[in-house]
Formats: sequence, structure tokens, C-alpha cells
Amino acid sequence: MRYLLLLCMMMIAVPLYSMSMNVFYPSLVSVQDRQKALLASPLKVKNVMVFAKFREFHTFQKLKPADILIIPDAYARTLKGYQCKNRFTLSGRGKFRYQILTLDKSWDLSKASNGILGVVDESGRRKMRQYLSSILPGVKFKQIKSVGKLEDLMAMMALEGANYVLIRLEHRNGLKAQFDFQTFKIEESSEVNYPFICVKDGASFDLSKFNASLLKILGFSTIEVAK
Amino acid sequence: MKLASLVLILSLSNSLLAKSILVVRKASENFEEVSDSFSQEASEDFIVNDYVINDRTTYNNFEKKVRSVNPNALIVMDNQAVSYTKEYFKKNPKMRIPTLATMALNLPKVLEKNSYIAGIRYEAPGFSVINSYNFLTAQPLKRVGVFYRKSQHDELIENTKRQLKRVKIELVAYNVEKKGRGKSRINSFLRKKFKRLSDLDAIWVLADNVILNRRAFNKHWKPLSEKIPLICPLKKFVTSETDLCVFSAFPSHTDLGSQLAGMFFAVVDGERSIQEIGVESIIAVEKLRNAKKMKNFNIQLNPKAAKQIPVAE
Repeated sequence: MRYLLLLCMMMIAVPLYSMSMNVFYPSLVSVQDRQKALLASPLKVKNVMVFAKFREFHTFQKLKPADILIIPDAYARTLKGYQCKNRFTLSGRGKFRYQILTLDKSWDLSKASNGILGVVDESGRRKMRQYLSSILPGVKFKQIKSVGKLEDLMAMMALEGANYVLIRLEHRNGLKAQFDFQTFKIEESSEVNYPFICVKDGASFDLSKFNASLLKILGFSTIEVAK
Repeated sequence: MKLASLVLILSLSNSLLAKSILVVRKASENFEEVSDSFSQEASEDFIVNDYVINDRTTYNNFEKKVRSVNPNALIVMDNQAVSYTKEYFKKNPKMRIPTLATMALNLPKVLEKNSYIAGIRYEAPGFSVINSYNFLTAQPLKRVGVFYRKSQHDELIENTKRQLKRVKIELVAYNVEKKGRGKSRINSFLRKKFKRLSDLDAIWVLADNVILNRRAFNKHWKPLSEKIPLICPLKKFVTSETDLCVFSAFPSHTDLGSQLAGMFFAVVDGERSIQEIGVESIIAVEKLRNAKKMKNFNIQLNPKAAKQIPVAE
């Protein structure tokens, strides 16, 4: 019985110190800063990979599936083989609404079927479309154009490559100094979750090690159980 | 055994039925990156064939290749590939297939009046170059100059003016063909105008071989680069070797491949036609700054932007 207990403890302890983590979610905090903070944190995760773009993350995750993932709502919804029970919060809220912005007020939603919506790719071409249909029910755009980074989303708008963009308010505010032009909010999405912390089926991970300073660098306030 | 044969036959017939794309490009590292990135996105649904051409590749070689692959779509990069494609479609109007192209500045002119090729202008857009530099400097830009050829770049300049107006930057455009289109007339215009430039915070340099002809580059542009900050759409102009510009924004080739793939699937999925797409700008750019030159001009940096924009070597 004692040996069995010891074996169980080893099985729990060993994976903790050799756990890997793949991270992707749109953020204005640089990849380097987030990676550095995660590696230096008390999480004791051996291999941390933070990605700027979904495609890079997805390619790597297919080759080297990590034990822990930090991923956006769009990707978590169809993820298999992981438990996504916990999400980040910001200012006491675990959910937010995307804003649909335009440069030209005359492009209201009645023109959506003729318009192009720019988005940051969070789950790949096909899944992203399904996700958008679920968070913007009843709205059909002529085309969905994806970009890799938040900065490129605002550039796409400025270059008139999209009539609308889908963006979180905090991100638009964070990019104001770089893209100092007026935008108009024409609609909001339904509520979506802030990024999830997902753990591979069968593995366990101590979330209490995400201390306040690490959470701040990652761009959030706390972690909560997703309801 | 019978089952194995059946599986083999089925898989073979599947691969024969699978749709294919032919990517035609030069052997440059940049185009290879674009091609790889495009293939990564498209290869889940299509067989992507990569055809590398060079100066010795004739039109006949090209036509033979297209006929042998018999693709459902073409992706063509740079002038030679675009020109062969236009010739091929002209000679074989029934063989016209959706085609996406990427090449430098005058792509809209090259693709004028055609309904079967859309594309992406292979150059960092003026807005991206100027707005990114504006973010890098502590002092906001008010007036930026540009020298252009009205016969080639009129639409590009008008679009850039409109886009920059939104960020409160005035683009002051000088048509170098004002006194004539010959090289000597253009060089004479540049020489005279460069002496009388005033009230400009920077000059956006167009990567145009005519405006940047060798004589003009050495005699006029290089000396000008010591007097006023030049900002460019090419990586090589910001490096210590050329040392022309204080700042450059240039295409991110991986993202260009993704942008082409997005455009391609918009056509395939019936969201937009080739005609509707026309010619788009590159969205994602990379940036470099020339620290030595910026110091010489005593340009103060915005620390947040400086952290994001590396120094060129």
C-alpha cells in the first residue's frame, strides 16, 4: 500500500517538473515578455513556448502537444483531449464582448453582406467562421479576412482592406497611439470567455502558482472556474 | 489482398481528382518563404506545385509546365511570371483560370482591364511606412514628401494621401514627370527640387527604378539622405551597406503567403470574384531603424515603439 502511494506521488510529481506549455492568444504584450515571465514564474513548467500567431502555434502544437495550453475561447471550443475548466479574468470579469468597428459610419450592419470583416485568426479558417457565426448570430459578412496579429488588424482597416474589424476594446485602446484615427463601434458580439488554461486529459496542474505579477504581465487579473 | 488493391485504386483516383495549384516564382529566398507559407495553408485542400523560374526560363518552358500540371489556379510572383501568365491567357483564352499575382509597385497598371488575375502589390504601403515611422518618433510628423511618376503611381498616391489624412499627416507629392518622362528630365527635376525642399519632416522613397536610377541615386538621393530623413519600403535601404534611410518597413513574406492564401480561398469559396478583389496592399510589414542615421538627425524616439522596432545591421 505504501509503495502504491509512493508510486502515485511520483506519477504526479514527475510530470509537474517536466510539463510543457504552449501559449497563444492575441495580446499587446510581446511574446518575449510573456515567455520570459512564464519561464521565471513559480509554475515550474520546463518548456514554455509562446506564439505570436495562431498558425505558428497550431503547427507546433500538432508536432509537440503540450501538457498545458493557454488559448483563446475560439480554439478552446473545439479542442479535444484537454480539460478547459479555468479561464483568466480581467477587472473582475471572466467574459467580454468583441466590438465591431468601422472607419466609415455608413457601413452599418445592414451592409454586412456586402462588407469584409477583418479578424485576428484564433482557430484557423474554417473554425473561425463557425466561431464568428456563433458569437455574431444572424450577421453574415461577404468575406472574413484573417490576419496574424492585432497590429495587422488595425493596419488592414487603415489600408481599407476591410470594412469592419472585430477587436477587444482593451486592444483597440492599446493600439490608439500607433493607429491614431477615429473608429466607430457599430455592434458587439455575444459574450465570450477570456483565454482558457487547458490541461491535458489525465494531467493536473497547480493554478495557485499563477501569482499576481505573472497574471499582470500576461494581461489579466485572476483565474476563475469557467461557468 | 483484394482489399489492399481497392484501397490503392481509391487513393490513386483521389489524388488524380484532387485539385492543384501551380506556384510560379523566382528562386529568391523571399519568394520561397511566400510560397512555403501559402502552401502550408492551401495544401490541406489542394496539391501545391512549386515551379521555380529564372532569366533563362522561356515562355515556351512556362507554357509546357502549365499544360503538364494543368492546375485549377495559378499563383505567380514577380514580373516575369506575371508577364508569361498574361501571354498564356492571351494565347489560350479558354484556358483562363483564377490567378493571383504579387509584384512590385505598378501591379495595378499591369493588371488593368483584366478579369482573371487579382493580386497583392509587393511593397510595403505608404501608409504603413509613414505611420510606423510616425509611431517610432517622439515628435509627430506633420508633412511628408514623396517623389512619384504620375503616369504610374497616381492612384497609389491619392489612396495614400487619403489614408494619411486620417492620422493627420499631409503627404506632399512631387510629380517627377512634370518636365518630361526621360531619365535626364527626371534627374534634372530631382536635382532642382531637392535644393528647394522645406517644411518636410521626412521623405517617403518609392522603390521605383526610374526615380531611383543609378545616377539619381548617387548624385541626388544619397546627398539628400544627409539633409532630411528618408523613410523606405525596402530592407536593403536601411542597412549599413546602403545607409540611405532612417527607417524601413518591408513585406513580411510569411504573412504575405497567408494573405495570398486568404485571397485564394475567398475566390474558391465563392465569397469574392477575381474582379472584385483587384489589387490589394500588403497588410503585415516588418520594420527596421537605422540608429546611426537617426542619431545624426537627432531624432528622439518613442521608447514604446523603439522596443518593438529592431536596429538594422
